[in-house]
Amino acid sequence: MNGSVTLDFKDELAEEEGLLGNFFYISCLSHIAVVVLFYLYNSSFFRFKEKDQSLMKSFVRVDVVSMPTLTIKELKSLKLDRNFKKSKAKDLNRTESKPKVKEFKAHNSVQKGIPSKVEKLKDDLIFKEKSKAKLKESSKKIKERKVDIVERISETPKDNVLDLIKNLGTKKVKVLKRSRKREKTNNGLGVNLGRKNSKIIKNLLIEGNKISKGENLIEGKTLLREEETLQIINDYISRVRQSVRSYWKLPEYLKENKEYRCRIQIFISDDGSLMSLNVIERSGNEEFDKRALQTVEMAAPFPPVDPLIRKRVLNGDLILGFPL
Amino acid sequence: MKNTLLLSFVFLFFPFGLSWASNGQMIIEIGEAALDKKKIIFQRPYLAEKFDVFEAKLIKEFHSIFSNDFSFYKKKFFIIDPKNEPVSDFDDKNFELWTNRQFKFITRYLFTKNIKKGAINFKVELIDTYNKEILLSEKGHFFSRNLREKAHALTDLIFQKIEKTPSIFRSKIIFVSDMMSKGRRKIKELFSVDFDGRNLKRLTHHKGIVISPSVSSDGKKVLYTLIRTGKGRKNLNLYSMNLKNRRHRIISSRKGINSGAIFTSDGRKIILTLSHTGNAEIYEINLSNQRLRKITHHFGVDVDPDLSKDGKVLTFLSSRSGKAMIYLADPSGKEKNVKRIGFVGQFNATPRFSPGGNEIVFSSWMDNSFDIFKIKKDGSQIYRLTKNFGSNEEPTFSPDGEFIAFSSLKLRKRKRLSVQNIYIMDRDGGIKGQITSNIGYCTTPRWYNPPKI
Repeated sequence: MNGSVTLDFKDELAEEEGLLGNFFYISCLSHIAVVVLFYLYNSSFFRFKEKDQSLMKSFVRVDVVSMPTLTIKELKSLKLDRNFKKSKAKDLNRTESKPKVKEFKAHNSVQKGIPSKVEKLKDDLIFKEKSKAKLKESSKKIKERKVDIVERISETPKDNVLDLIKNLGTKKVKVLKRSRKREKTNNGLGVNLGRKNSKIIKNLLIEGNKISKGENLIEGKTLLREEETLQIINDYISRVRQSVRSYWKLPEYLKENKEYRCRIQIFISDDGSLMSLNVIERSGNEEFDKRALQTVEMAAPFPPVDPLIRKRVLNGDLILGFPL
Repeated sequence: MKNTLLLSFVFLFFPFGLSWASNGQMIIEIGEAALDKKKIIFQRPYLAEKFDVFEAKLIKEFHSIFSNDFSFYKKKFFIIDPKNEPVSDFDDKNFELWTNRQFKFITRYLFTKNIKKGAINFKVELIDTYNKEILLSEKGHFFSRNLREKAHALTDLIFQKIEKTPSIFRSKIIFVSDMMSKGRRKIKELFSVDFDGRNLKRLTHHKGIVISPSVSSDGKKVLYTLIRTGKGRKNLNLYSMNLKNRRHRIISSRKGINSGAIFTSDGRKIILTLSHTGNAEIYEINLSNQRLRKITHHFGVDVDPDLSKDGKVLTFLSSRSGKAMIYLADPSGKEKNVKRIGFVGQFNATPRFSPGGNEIVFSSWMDNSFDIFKIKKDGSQIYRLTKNFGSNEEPTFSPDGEFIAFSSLKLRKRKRLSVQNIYIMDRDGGIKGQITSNIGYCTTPRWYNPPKI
């Protein structure tokens, strides 16, 4: 009796295992079929050796709502003006910093001269009035400088506002000896905290104007790091395209054939110099390919590369399509 | 069982891992290339004999036409001034001097005296210095009366050899001018002029008011509407004229408007605006049997037809939407495939196809004057071509599609000082120059190629 029971039990187990196995194989097959269909649809599975390529096209979406007010020539000159303004804004920033350095130097020299003058003033009552006038002048200058800074912030385009704030945060604030005496009693809090503590408070205030790393503020929204990288690479691509495009010229007989297409992979180092070229797709016309290569060589060196996208640019992730 | 589990796990997730591992490459679209200009020099003429002052003047004029003509195509050619260039012998075959300086094309001129009085023999060669090949060698002679015609014909040949397409150098512009007006009596006649503004000729002598000229594609006939001034019923009648013998005849004298007529590409039919039914509509008339066929049928006003070069698309102006807007239609039927492509502008006028058929130029009222605009055939990409240049109307494309002629009215405080002349600009709105001057108010230009002699 026991033997028959165990035998039955074993048979049942064997049956169950067999059924389980069948179900398992069926589910595996169905999963595999889904995966295969998925990859067939995306057609990326069969090319797993090649990298994914995305075409970066420049385009402007225009909704025609009224007759254009600018002519073709005016539009072209407008683009040039914008580029000129950007470069000029950068130059202005650079030039703006220089006179400040000079002013500070002059101020230091004045500061050096003060102790000797102060000693003299102590002894001579007549010169007290002059020193008061000088104090007034220096306070006026400080006010003017503050006003200038505020005006520059309001006048400069949006692109440079963040730079200005950054610069404000990184500047070392030099405080005059006389103003220090005043600040002992009046540090904005109405309480005398001492030199060390008031210094800490000032630094905290300045720190508050700094933009912390890893974040960007654009129109009040914060961006993730990935989006920031994407923005940087898009910006770099548009600059590379602009510089290459200015050298891209063909004679009429090559321009006529719209089917010619050549793609060149470029490897750019940190400083923007062209490390190497690689023609990954030929047009079939030697002269066309030769002119495309010459265009890239003439366009080099490219703008310096941002550290965030350094690896991608160095690894040859940028491919120039002539014409696409 | 364990092995099958493992295998299935690997097989399922392996491709996902691969796709996650790959980074995206980016293909940067550089776009269409700009045209690389060709360097060309028109060498100083080589005079094999001594010429008198008058003959030397003719030779100088003949030679200057070459660089003047090619200066219209500054976007394609870089023209070198031959003044500072050395003159070699006419048969010199050493081209290294030119190839080193990347001068691909040079033209050489040799002039000799002709037996006939007043005639000068010429020999013109076009040389490709890179391939060391003589592309063109033409001989002939000219008189003072046909000097320009011969020179333009040669420049056209040279252009065709280099560019493989015809140029505008042989083309002419037909237009209406009121220079024959006397006092209060307005007289507008038809005139023609070379593309460079020279060789002005009067074509009609009706002493009436001529409007809306249009030339056939073979350059042999012209259509225009005439309003007879003076006593009697005034009607707008359609005329056709042979440009060679200047004989004209009435094509249509129906009641009302018979205007805005254009030839079809084969020249056997015309498309025009008629209003004999009470409303302005567009019709087709078969010139052989005078059969009339209606193309538009709408209570709105339909005027100003123009046909694409292949004859398959018609553009016209219609007020069916309430404002004068640009429409397209299939001219083979009645109200067939009518499509509106103009949606902006207060008042649009005179739509004209480009020779390629992809673009339409038209004038539109903006900023208290008319200006010229360009639109794609599908209604996209409107570009403004003129601005702050008076009131600009009636644009017409050149036969090669590279230039546009138009009339421009410059108003002055004193009305009698106002002028209206024909101008030429390139297809991007760059003004090339004024074609007419001091010949009254010039309007409705039409660009065409005359038949080859």
